[in-house]
Formats: sequence, structure tokens, C-alpha cells
Amino acid sequence: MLAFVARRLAFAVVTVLVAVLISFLLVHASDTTPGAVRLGAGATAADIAAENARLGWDDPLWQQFGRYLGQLVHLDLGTSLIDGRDIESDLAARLPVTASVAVLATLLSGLVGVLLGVAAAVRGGRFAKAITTSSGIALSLPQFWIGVLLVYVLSLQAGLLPATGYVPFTTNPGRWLDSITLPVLALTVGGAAIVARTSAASMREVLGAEHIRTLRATGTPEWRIRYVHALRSAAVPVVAVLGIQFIALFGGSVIIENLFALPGLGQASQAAASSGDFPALVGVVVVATVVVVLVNLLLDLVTAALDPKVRAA
Amino acid sequence: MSAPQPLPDADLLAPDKPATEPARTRRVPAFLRRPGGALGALWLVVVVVGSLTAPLWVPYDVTTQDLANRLALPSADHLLGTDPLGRDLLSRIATAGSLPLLSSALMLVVAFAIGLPLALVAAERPGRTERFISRATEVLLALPATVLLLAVIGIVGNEIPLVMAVFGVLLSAAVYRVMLGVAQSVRQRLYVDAARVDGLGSLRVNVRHVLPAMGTVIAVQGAQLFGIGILVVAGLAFLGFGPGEPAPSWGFMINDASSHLFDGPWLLVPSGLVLALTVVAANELADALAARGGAGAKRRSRKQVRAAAAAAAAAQGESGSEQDAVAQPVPDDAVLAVRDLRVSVVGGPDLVTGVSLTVRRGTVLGLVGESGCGKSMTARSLLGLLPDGVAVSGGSIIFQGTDLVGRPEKELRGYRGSRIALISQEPMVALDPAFSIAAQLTGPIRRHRGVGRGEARTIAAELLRNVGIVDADRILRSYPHQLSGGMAQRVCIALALTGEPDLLVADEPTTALDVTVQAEILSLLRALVRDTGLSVVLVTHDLGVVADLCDDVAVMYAGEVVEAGATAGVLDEPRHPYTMALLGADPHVPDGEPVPERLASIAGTVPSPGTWPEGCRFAGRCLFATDACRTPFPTVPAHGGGLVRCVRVEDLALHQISWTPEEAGAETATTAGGAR
Amino acid sequence: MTAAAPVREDAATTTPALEVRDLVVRYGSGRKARAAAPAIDRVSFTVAPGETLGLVGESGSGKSTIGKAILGLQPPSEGQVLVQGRDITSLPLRKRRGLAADLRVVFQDPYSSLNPARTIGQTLVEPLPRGTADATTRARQALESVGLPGDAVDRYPTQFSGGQRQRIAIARSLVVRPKVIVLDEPVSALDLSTQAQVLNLLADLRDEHGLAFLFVAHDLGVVRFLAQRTVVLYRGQVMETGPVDDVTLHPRHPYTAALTSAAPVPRPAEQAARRAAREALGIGTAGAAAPSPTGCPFATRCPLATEVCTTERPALRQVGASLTACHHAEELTA
Repeated sequence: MLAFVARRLAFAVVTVLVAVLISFLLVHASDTTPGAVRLGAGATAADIAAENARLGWDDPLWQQFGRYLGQLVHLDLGTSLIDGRDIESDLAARLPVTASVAVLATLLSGLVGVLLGVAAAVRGGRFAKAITTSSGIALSLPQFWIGVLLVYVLSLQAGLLPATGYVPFTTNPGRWLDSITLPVLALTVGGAAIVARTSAASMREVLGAEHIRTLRATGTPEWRIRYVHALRSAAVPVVAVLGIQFIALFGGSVIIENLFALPGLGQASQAAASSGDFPALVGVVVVATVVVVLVNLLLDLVTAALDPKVRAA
Repeated sequence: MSAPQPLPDADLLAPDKPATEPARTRRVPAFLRRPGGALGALWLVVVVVGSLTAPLWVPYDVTTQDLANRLALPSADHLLGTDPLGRDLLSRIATAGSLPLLSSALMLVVAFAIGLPLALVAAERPGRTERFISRATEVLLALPATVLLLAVIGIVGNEIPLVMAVFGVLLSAAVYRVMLGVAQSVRQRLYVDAARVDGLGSLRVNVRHVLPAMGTVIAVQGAQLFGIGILVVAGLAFLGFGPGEPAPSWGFMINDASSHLFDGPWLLVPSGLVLALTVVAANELADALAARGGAGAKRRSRKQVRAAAAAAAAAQGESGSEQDAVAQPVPDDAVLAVRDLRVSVVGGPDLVTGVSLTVRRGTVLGLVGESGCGKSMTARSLLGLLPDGVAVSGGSIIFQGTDLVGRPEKELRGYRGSRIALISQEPMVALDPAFSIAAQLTGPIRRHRGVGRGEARTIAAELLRNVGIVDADRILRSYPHQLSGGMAQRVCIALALTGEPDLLVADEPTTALDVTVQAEILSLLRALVRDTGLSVVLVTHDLGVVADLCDDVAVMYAGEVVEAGATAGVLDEPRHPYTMALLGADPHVPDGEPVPERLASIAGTVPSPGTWPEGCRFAGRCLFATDACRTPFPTVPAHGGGLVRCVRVEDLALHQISWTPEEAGAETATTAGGAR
Repeated sequence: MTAAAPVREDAATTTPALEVRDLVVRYGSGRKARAAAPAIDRVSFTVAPGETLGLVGESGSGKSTIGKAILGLQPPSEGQVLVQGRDITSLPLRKRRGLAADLRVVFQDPYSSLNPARTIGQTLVEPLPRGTADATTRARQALESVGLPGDAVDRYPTQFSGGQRQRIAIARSLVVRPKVIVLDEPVSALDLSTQAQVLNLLADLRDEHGLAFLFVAHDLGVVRFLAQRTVVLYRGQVMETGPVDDVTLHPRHPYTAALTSAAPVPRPAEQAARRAAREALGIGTAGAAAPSPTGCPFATRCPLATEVCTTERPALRQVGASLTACHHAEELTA
């Protein structure tokens, strides 16, 4: 088990390194330079060159890369080219916003999706068909369109929730919840649909398996067969899908944060992308990769807990 | 390693199961016959053609403003209404379509151009090559795609096709993953090995044999990813990373709508709907394609099954015994008496008809026959565990004086495990892989015997020792995947004994096992019967197993019992031609006898349910069939309390006719071909 | 089977159709794989022209791996494979085409061994060199030689039953007029009556064309029907080899004795006697413990095992009519 975790951790480090390297190379493939971004449109070529030299842009690539990694070890992501703010503290403030939306949306998707999916598998017939069809549509709808629709219905028409803005949890938990409800709902529609499909298919398959027949043959009560035995085997692919969902929601936060004006990581990456703020861009990539890698690690552990075969391997 | 793998008897409808792959000669592709698939494909065609030809037909120029008609609802002038600057929405939506469609297509091409060849190479070279590629793609998969795409935009600008090509590179990892799994499973198929032995090069093996088998999955994946691509392009445009104003884009139109929710909510509808419908269409198409791949038997509704069960219960009330006058009385020492049992596909053909069996206390009854003869269906009906869509439609199953046919599920559950237990063919998959052996044994022990956790574990260990497991404690801690086949079957037998049943139904319990392990399991069953007075119904296709373990035997063919009686009588002096033929086809001869030059064989195949002829069902393949065989006839008593279902049985006995082995060379004679 | 003796004398003078010398197959790579017991451990045998050699063993014995190694589907780690005296051990599959069209195969599962998307004809002509003029004629002839109508070339595999498909698979191996056919469990997926048809067909082909068969099977009864000689494998090693009647009726190796006595015969009285004999033999439970790597692989289950069996791997030696790898072979015969 320890070896398993060690292997996954080593893999995680490699992944982060690759992410840093790719974004680093991307930055250097660009035809603008940090000096030009920093000094703005009015700067002369000489000023820009001097600024680039000061930033170390002219050093050999591997030296710059090494320097960046050195900083990274000390959790230093550098400063913004636009306003000189500390990138790591900026991102640290934004992470909870994105994370809370993504975590809540994943949990809600899991809950709703598994309930619907299991009900569809167990009840079958027309009910299952209805779930399949509606989830097929739900997972095809663009999140931002659902978001706009929710704003229109729940906020503008019904006046139940604020349309945009964010209130930190520490300021006012109740209003925090209000402020993230719409974004979470917008993300949950598609997420729950995918989870429902996966869990229905997985559950249906397990319920037809030979070991379920053995349980029936020993007179095991049907509820036990379904919710203790079948659900546990069926959970493995569902957990995998939930993990992928979280990663997708986390990465996809850009659009939702833009729509609901949430000060999260997505907003930061959008701003950095539009202004060419290279250090901020690389910083976001690093943070996002670390989160993805950690979630994958967690997923592996959950899967191992559910499936003894994985544990042994 | 090739374990012995005879065909299981589970094939319901066809004894010679036709493969699921569709034949090629069809005019309308199957996926278009589903409404979702047809509509999806139609919509995609409309959108693609409409967008690509937009400049030729749109009514307005995309930049033409009509400020008097801002945010108009649909009208004759503007079929879909206008935007905040009074521009025609239909024209803008149609014109905007080509960018997401084309760049998603580009993304698809890139993703498959990288992912698919890598998957084929990795499937062909397991080991180092496969591991390396898989690791590399895993890294790619762990990169945060959206953020990376934004980084690319930050550096190259709003070059959407280029950005989507980069996205294609990231997606190639996902494509690789799915395709690798499929390619590996295709490579397991023996025809790939056969082609390699034929001397085909790697490229031709892949192109001719591996790729075609992956077609469905490629199409499904492609359609799904295409939908994702459309969503990503629209999302980027929503954020302002798309063609800048005044050029139209689907995503930015929705963004526009979000700032005009007060004064023009209609704006949200046309653009959103076209976008959503396009993605829905792609996904529906994918679903339809996937369904074509797994096309199988239609599931029957529960209502139909219930109706059939009710009919069976009603029929049992009248219980007019059918063609056979074997309304045999139930002997006193019978644990189980099956009378005139009929099992049918609900709303379909019969699978088993007129089966009568008697199992005496402390004896073993063998149910023997080839694939598709109905022996497994008969056995499973004893526990009320028939597959979905199959039900008992007549007759009675009298277990210890109670008729089980038509009893509610809840009542049957009281019998299962505690009075009638089952052991099945595949011990390796019969145990729940997620639970330890201890957990799987103690659950039923506690339920059946009403004991506590600790005591249940003690009983479990004792049961394991009773089935010949020496280190019971280690096995209790194990999980099913850690056991060998023989060990797993012993655990399954212990599991069946948890409720101290009176009757054990063993469905091909040794078929999946090696012959030395089979001998051990048979000895174990024999000892259990001797020591505990258990009765057993043993389903098998192996006459040797019958000879080893069974007191009585019933030979089944095409859903009915053709010969039954004491094992020694039936096997040593077979009277039905089918039994004679089976014995003559068995190459296992006793030690003293010479091996025959050729075996007896039976021309043709078992008729499928629904195509059974009138009269003797074996007549079409029987060497001795006459016209008398083609009309219904009663069974003849034989072998003491047994029977034989042959109208010529006296005749054959009188002339000492037996089923002779084939002549040498008969099989290579061309003329024989047509009949087989 | 009286044919056995003359065939063996022939074998001494003519080139064997198939020869396997000291074959070793290890799965995987790296230090771990080299340390583990190989899947196939120094196996040697020959098959004379016109002879059928049965390769018998239970799951895990490596019998199918040997077939794969001969066919080039699994690269051998050591040893040689010769067809008609020609060493093909390291010949890549692509190069075998034409040169060694002499070596063919029939697989176990007739459902998976034919590509459902290709017609029977397309499948049958695949081994022929491209541009073979009479390809279709030869495919038809091959089908007719296995008792199927020649016009089956235009049909798809789904239109045939399991037994017919296995006939097609056999026809596929006959189309290039081979010398040696590896039969990898060709009847174990078939029902008894179909199995009998295919076995009769193989016997006819053997007699009519003088083909050499390497018949891989787990069922001694089936092997006894078709083969003249047999090799008994256990955990990748040869336990006993010799004329099939000697090996099955008078086993010299305790494992062979276990195997033969475990196969039930469909005669109740006879079978009762066999069962009693088997139980008296006292063979240990399968898979009870892993054998020592230096000794006899069967020692942990063997009733005759002594100290020497766990320390020293017995060599194959002549006992009676067969070769046996057992330190105590004489005790069993006694």
C-alpha cells in the first residue's frame, strides 16, 4: 500500500514538472516578451530590451527554468507583470472560491446522479428511459447557457438569489451560500446527468452478474443485494466519473466565474490570458495541475478501498 | 493458458449462438433506425450544410444593423428576431456555425491522428512500449485542459482553429485510453492471431482485422468528442476569446443575451437552442451508434413477466397433464417432484416442456444433455431464478409437499439458501469480488441460523473444513480473486451449505475446473450426500460425471426428457437412440476396451426452441426415424421407474439395433456437407 | 493403436515434421521474470510426418504456450523450433509466409477465430501469396475437403454453427497444403456430438493427407482417440512421454496416474472402480503449495515424494515403453 502511494506521488511530481515545462515553453514560444507586457504599449524597443534583461529573459532557457523551479520549491510563483502583485498570495485567496464551487457541485452531482441512476437501474422500464433521455439532453447543454437561464428564472424573475457577486464564507455564511448556489446549480445539471448515466449502466451490469445470482440463491434480501453488494461493485466506475467531473468542473470554472463574477482561479486565468501576464498564467497552470493530481491520488485511494483487486496490485 | 471451456448451457434461444456482429449486407445502417440517431444525424447535416453555405443564402449581412428593430422577436422580416444592434439573428447564427464545426472537426482529426495509432502500437506491443505510452498519456490527461488552452490563447491570440488543434493534442490522451482498451480486447480475438500466423504484416493485421472491429467505438467517441469540441469553442467565445465583434459567434451571442436579460430575454433562445441541439444531436448519434454495437435481445417488461407467472399459476390449477400419461404419483421418499414442467420465453417459444423428475432423499439426480437442451433452465426454475424474460408457464415443482410454482417471490426467498441451495458453473465469478470470504459466509450463516457474529465465524471456519479446506482461517481472510478455481468452488459449496439445505442444485459445478480438481469436487459432493443425507440435482454435459456421482439420470434433448432412470440402466443399456449416440460419441472408454477408430456422430444441429417438430424432436437427426416418429406418442416406461421417449424402442430392442460409429473417410466426403 | 510403432521407427530415419528442442519461455522481462520459474522449462519433442502427438496438461501446464511459441506468437526465451528440419525459431511471422506455409494452426474457439466482418472466402485465401491465380478454387477445395459445400466462400461466419465454423477453421489451415498443423484445443469448446464429428474429420484428414498434428488438449480421452504418442506436461515441464496407450493405461509418473484416473468414463461400474483406485493413490490437493524451484514440480502433491524430489529435478529416463521424469517411477509400476 505504501509503495502504491509512493508510486502515485512520484507520478504526481512528474506531472507537475511536465505542466510547468509545457507552459514555460509556450511562454517562450510567444512573440511578445514580458518586458513589452510590463511596460505597456508606449515603451521604446530599448526600454523593453533593458526590462527583459532585468527579468532574466535573455538567459539560456534551462537557467530560467531552473530558477523558476527553485522558486517553486519555496512556493514562490513570482509577481504579476501587470500590477506587480504576489501571484502565490493572489491565487491562494482565489483557490477557496473555485474549490468550494467545484466541491459542492461535485457532491451534489454525485448525490443526485447516483439516486437517479440507481433508481433507473432498479426500476427499469419507462422510468429508466425517461432518465436516460433527460440526462442525455442535460449533459449536452452548455453550462453557461444553463447559468444564464438560472439567473433569468431564479434571480430576475423569482428574485430568490443574487445574480452575481461573491461573499466570503467568513464574512457571512448564509450569504456565501446564496452567492454560490446559482453557480453550483449551473454546474450540477450536466454533472448529475453524467453520473446518473454511469451509475445506471454500472448498476444494471452488476445486477446481472453471476455473484448477484449467488446472493439471490442464498436467500439474501433484495435490499441487501442492491444497496450493500451491487452498489459497492457499481460504485467503482461512478467514483472514477466523479473524479473526472471534479477536475472538469475545476478547470471549467473559468466560464462560470466569468458569468457570476466570482473572484476565483478561472477569472485570474482569463485575465492573465487576455493581458499576456505570463507569470500569472504559469502560476494558474501549476496550481490547477497540483489540484488535479491530488484529486487523482485521492481517487486511486478510494478505488483501492472499494476494490480488493486494485489493493493487491 | 487455455482452461477447458466448453460452451455453457446458458444460451437461451439458439443452441448454436449466432455472433452479435451484424452482417454487412444492410441498406439502412442500424443506428439510423433509432429515432434519436436519425434525428441527430439529420440535424447535424442541416447545421453543417446550413453553416458552410451560409454566405449563399442568409437574408442579411451579419453586420447590417437595424437600430429601429433592436431586440426584436421573430417576425417575417427576421425569422429568429434581432440582436441588441438590430442585426438579424438567423443570419448571424448560421454564419457563426462554420467556426465551431470546422475547428471541432480539426480537433477530432488531431486527437484521433495521434491517439489511434498510439493505441494500435501499444496494443501490439505490450510491455515496455505500452507502459511508456500509457504513462506519457496519463501525464497529458492530468494537465488542466481549460487553463492550458487559456494559456495558449494568451500567447498565440484568438486563433481558435490553432487552439482547438492544441486541445486535440490534449484529448488524444483520452482517445488513446479508450482505443487502447478496445484494441487490446480485439487483439485477444483468435482471428487476429490466425491472421498473424497467416503471415500478414503488422499494418495489414491492424487495417484488415483490428481497425474494422473498432469502428463502432471510434464513431461513438468521435461523435461525443465533437459535441465537447463545439461546447469548448462556444465557451471560449462566451469569454470573448473568439472572432471579435462584429463577427458573430454562438458563445458571444449568449454572453450578449446575459447582459440583456431584462430587456430582451428572447435573445437567449435562438443561439442557445442551436448550440444545445447540435451537441444533443452529436450525443444522440453516439448513443445510437453505441446501441447498435450492443444490440441484443429485447428485454421484456415486468408486466409481461408477471402476466406469465399468473398464467402459470392458473394453468397449474387446471393441471391437465399434457401428452404424457406420466401423472406419476409422488413417492414418499421424494424430496423434489417436478411434474410436467414448462418453461417459456415470455411471449415467446417454450424452452422446456413436459419435464417430470423425482429426486429421492439422499440421492443425486443427473440432468444431462448438450447445449441448449434446457437442462440449466430446468435447474434454475427449481429455485425460481430464471433469467429476465423467462418464466415457468406450466406444471408443478413439488418440494417437500409444497408446490413452488406461482408462489410469490417473497415466499420463494424463504426457500432459497435455507432449503434449496445452488452452486454454479463459474466459481470464480460466483463470489462477490468486493467482500472477503468471511463476510460472504457469515452473512447467510447469521441470517439462516440466527447466531451472532463471533459464532457465525466459527461456523464458517467449520464449514470450510467440511469442504476439505485445510487452512480455513487464511481462506476466510482472503478475497475471491486470491483463490484458485477449485478453492473457489469449495467456498461456493460451503456457501451453499450455510443454510443446511435439503436440496442442492449444482449447475455444471465442475465444467470450468481441471480434471484432477473436478475429481476432488465430485468426491466432496459424494461425501456430503453420504454424510448429511443431502439430495442433489446435478446439471452436466459430461456422461462420465453422471457415471461417477449420480444415482438417477435424466437425458434431455430439445427441451424435454428423452430417457430417464437409474444411472446404471441408462448408461449401460441405453434405449433411446439419442442416448446411444451420445455414448458412442464419447471418446472416454474404460481401460480394458480399445479406442474406436471413429466415433459415433449425429448429423445436423439441435433444433432451436420454436422450431421443434411435431412428434419426436430428435427424429430429424435420428438414424432410425420412420413416419411413426413424426406424430405425438406417449413415453414408454423403462429402467425400473424411468422412461424412454421413443416410439420405436421395442423395435430397436428386438432387432438389437444400436447407433454405430461413422465410417472412416465419411467426414471428408463432400456430399456430407449439405446436411451438416 | 497399432500404428504407433512403425511411425516411430520412421521417425528415426526421416526428418521430423516438427521438432522442438529445449524450449524455454519466460513471460515478462526484467530481473523478476528471470528469477521466477519459466512458463515452459526445457521441453523437447518431435512429431514425425503423418504422426499425431498429443500435448496434454491442465490449466497452467503451459501446453498452449508451447503451441504459441512454435507458431511465433510468443517468442521463446531459449531453445529451437524446427519445421521439416528448418530452424524457424527466430523467423518473424511475416517472413514465415510462403517459406514455412508448412506450419498451420486451428484454434480452440471457432467463434473468435473467424473475423465476422469477412466472408469465408476472404478468410480462407488470406494465407495464400497475393495474386495466387486459383485462390478461390483452392478455398472451395479446402471447404469441400472438410465436408462443407464450396459455395460457402461467399457467406459470413455468423451463418454457420459452432461445428461448421471449426470445419472452416480447419479448411483455412488446409488451404496452403501444410505439413504440420498445431491443433490448439480444437474440440474443447464443442458439444459432445459436434466434437465427435470434428474428431472424426481430423482422423480422416490425418489418414488421407499424412498430416502431422500437434494436438494440444486437456482431455486425455480425446488425445487417446486421435494421437499415437503423447507428452504430459505439468507446470511447464515434461512429466512423461511415450506411446499414448502406454502412457494412459500404464502411467509411470504419479502425475500421469492422477490425470488418467481423474477422467471419468461413462460406465457406472467401471467408474466406481476407477474412483476407488484414484482415492487409493492419495494424490494431494491441486495448488496446495508452491513447489520448490530446484526439485520436481509435482513433489508437493505426490504421494511418493521423498527428500530427493524437492532437491533434485528428475531427468527424463526410459521406464517401460515411455520416458518418465520421476525418481520413483518404478514404485508406481510395481
